[in-house]
Amino acid sequence: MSARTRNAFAEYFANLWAGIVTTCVGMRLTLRYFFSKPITMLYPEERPEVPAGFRGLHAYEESKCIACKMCVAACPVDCIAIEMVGRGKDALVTRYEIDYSRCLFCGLCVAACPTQCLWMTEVYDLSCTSRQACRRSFARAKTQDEIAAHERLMEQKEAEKKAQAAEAARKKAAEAKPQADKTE
Amino acid sequence: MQDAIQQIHSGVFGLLWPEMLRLPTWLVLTAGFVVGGALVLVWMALMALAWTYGERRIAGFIQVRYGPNRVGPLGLLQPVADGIKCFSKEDTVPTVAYKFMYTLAPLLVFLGAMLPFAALPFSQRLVLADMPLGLYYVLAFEAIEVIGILMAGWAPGSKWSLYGGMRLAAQLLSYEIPMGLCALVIILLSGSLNLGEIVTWQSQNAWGLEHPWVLGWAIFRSPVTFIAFVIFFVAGLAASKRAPFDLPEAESELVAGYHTEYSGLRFSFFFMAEYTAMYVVCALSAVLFLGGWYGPVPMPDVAPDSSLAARWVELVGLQGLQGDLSMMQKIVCAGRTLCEALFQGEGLRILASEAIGLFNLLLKAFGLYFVMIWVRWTLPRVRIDQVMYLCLKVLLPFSLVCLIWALIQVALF
Amino acid sequence: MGCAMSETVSPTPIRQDSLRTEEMLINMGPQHPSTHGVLRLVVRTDGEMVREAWPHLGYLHRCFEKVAESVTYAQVVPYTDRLDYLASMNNAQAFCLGVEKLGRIEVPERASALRVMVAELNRIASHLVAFGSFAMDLGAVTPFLYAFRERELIISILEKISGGRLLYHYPRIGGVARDLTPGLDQEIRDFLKQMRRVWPEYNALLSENQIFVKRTANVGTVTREQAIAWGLTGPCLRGSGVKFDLRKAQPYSGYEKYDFEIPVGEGAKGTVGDCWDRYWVRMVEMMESCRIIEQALDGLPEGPIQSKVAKVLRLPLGEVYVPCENPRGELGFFIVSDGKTQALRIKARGPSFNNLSITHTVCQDVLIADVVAILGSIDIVLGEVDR
Repeated sequence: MSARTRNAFAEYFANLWAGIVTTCVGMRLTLRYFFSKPITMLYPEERPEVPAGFRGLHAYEESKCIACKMCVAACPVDCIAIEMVGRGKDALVTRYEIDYSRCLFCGLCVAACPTQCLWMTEVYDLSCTSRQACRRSFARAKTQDEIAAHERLMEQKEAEKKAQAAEAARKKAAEAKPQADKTE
Repeated sequence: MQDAIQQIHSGVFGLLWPEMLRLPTWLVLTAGFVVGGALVLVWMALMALAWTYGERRIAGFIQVRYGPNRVGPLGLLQPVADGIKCFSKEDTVPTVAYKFMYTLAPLLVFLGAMLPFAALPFSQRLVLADMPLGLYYVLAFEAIEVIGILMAGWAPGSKWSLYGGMRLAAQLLSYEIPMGLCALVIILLSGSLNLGEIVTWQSQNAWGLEHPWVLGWAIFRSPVTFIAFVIFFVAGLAASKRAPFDLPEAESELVAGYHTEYSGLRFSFFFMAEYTAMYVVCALSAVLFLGGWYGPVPMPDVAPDSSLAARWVELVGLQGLQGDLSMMQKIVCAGRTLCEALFQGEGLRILASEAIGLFNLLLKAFGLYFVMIWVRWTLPRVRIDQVMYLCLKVLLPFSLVCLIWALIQVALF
Repeated sequence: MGCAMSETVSPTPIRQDSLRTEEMLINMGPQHPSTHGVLRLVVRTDGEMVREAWPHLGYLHRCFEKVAESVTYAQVVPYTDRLDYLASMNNAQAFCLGVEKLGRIEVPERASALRVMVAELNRIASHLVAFGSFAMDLGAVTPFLYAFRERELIISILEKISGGRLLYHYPRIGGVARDLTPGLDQEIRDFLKQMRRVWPEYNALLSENQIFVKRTANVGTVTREQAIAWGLTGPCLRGSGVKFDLRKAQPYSGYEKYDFEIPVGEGAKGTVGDCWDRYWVRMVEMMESCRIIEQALDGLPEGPIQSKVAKVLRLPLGEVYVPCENPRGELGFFIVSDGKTQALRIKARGPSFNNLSITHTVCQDVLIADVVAILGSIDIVLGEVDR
């Protein structure tokens, strides 16, 4: 028998033996796992423990919001919509909507907010049955009366501020005049 | 050996009913066959149902997860849900399909899986037709599946189906050779093709013992039979298209192989046929190599040719059933004597022996079934050229060696 | 007889195509159980033999590069997560490194160490998916479940660190988003122990299995020269015997401080550069990543995790390309800035795109089953291929 034939035979039997042994080893492993306890979590009876800091559904505190629109600017996909009456601390937010069909859950809006009025909760189940339902509103809907009242308030404040500014300017002019008289 | 058909003929329907009801014997015989066939169908359906659940559960536990556990307690109604789903699907036929072949293919496959049951025993007397060529019959009729699958590959007119059909034809036909050769080993050693006689051979005269119990099993009688058993089992895995030889239905490669274009009821035919073919291979292995119904649980001693039917007829004869008794009285008498025959003395022993035999056989067959499932979820799929290599260059030479050894053993001892 | 011999009847000529055996053009995908995403592979087969295979891409194109031109640099980072969604930490790190280099932004040491740690954790997670789905393609479904059991541990850890489970948005420009919480250190060490315990089990079940070896050894061999010529990187390159890893060749984020080996394909089961080698490189890399994570945890420096960066970053004029070693290969972002808050052009060099280009060369005269094995061993993620 030539060396090549001898090698071929040896390889043949080596392959066969390897096949049998590795099959048995694999089967022993799976049998061991057959008798071990499954690791599946029986959802929805068992729920996963969501760690703190999970980026899920947003939470919004309207009282702290100053309607600065930093969150709108920070969002990569433009999913936040704000409407307000007035500006700054006195603003009345009439609409604060996040479109969850676009939201990336990246958290840039949370990081951008200067007053920490927006944060993300551990709620992960956001399933809904229509596109409309994906747009979730966080600000309380305001009635027309409220909006009108706030507009009036804003106008009033505006008028007050103008009056104050005019008063301050007059005072300044009045102070400057005696100064001018003195120097002269 | 008294098998079910013979008992039906000689005992119950053959003598009693024609006497009682004045029915012609041929009608009663045909009724017997139809009932037998129906029983086989029921068994097939139960097997498929139970083992779809069983396989998914076992697969789940192997994969450290639960299997189906939502539909019904412990998920036991899952097969019912699967069945309802299958039956309620739309029956689509591709427009380019060859309609006749498309319809015929699943039926042929189903037939090929169902026919071997005629000769497959469940216990010593629980066999439909105790044929002298029982083993030959089983192996031959399993081959009808091949035609069905070739048709299933060609008929839908889809390339994916064609691939599956071609692969399968090669695989199935090749693997029947080692199966046949290893069965031949057993035939040589036992001296008979009759499955009942093969089991009887395994229950006597081994290792110098009159009643060898487990040591009488074929696998313990010769080193060669153990190898033959392994080869037979592996070839059976391939013949029933189970992993690691499940190329014809390789999901990740061919979408679904030869049954890509079948859905709903047609698909469930293939499905049931596969699980049934698995059972046939397991039962055949158990009968040929593991002692069939002669098993770990010992059976009470019963003379092989005592039969329940003969006892019943004897008891009825003692009562004298002919003559002017009314129909109702005849039925009551027959029923009473049946109970007497079943639950007293010899009849009870026969009943117990059959039940234990059935339990033994099912224990082994289902044990092998579990091994088949276990192997499927452990091993990757073998490539088609490697499948052919395994058959022709590994299994075939070894089975030939086993055969030659068996020849020498029979000639010299 | 009486046949008219005045008319000459010429015999019907045998045409070339009447003797031709039928070749089939088969479409694998875009919806196909084993093409790792929406990849369309057009395969010309002759019976069971594949003569040619062309990948058709673009089914997952989401215009990342165009979008990146109209958002600020900080807003690009969540988009980078979604390129190779299985290696999100690595993608963001690559981008942030590019921006930091161009903007000359210093990254604190603690942030670098944390970046390395989460990048290696993500590498293990990504390789587990590669391992599991490769096994599943070849018919062994069980290892996939075992791989995901370990992956769940990693995902839980990364969830506690970053707040997300797959897309983390954790490496930020100038550092990282959050610090480690107490107890996380122990959880990571427990995971490392578990990983080291089950790694031999994976080998016993799959790597050494004769059927698996026969399916993958000597299949899809990519020679050293081919690998370099076609621009392969990552385990595909190292599987062909080229000992090149960006973490050693061009270290970033402090990788020069860590002690780890670069596994290279040696043809242990067949030829150098076959599917088994690429697979084995990934398996060994998992263990090496465990070592790196341990070293990072042990030597975690104190300090801030984010340096001061302008709220809306404006990069100076210039261009930069910083390549990083992703689980799938070299990921780099070529950033061109014209001095504004938004980039002029960002080009993402996705490793899977280049790795996929080898398909056509390698899938010639193989069986269909081999095509599946080859695709699985290249390990592509369509998010990276199509961007």
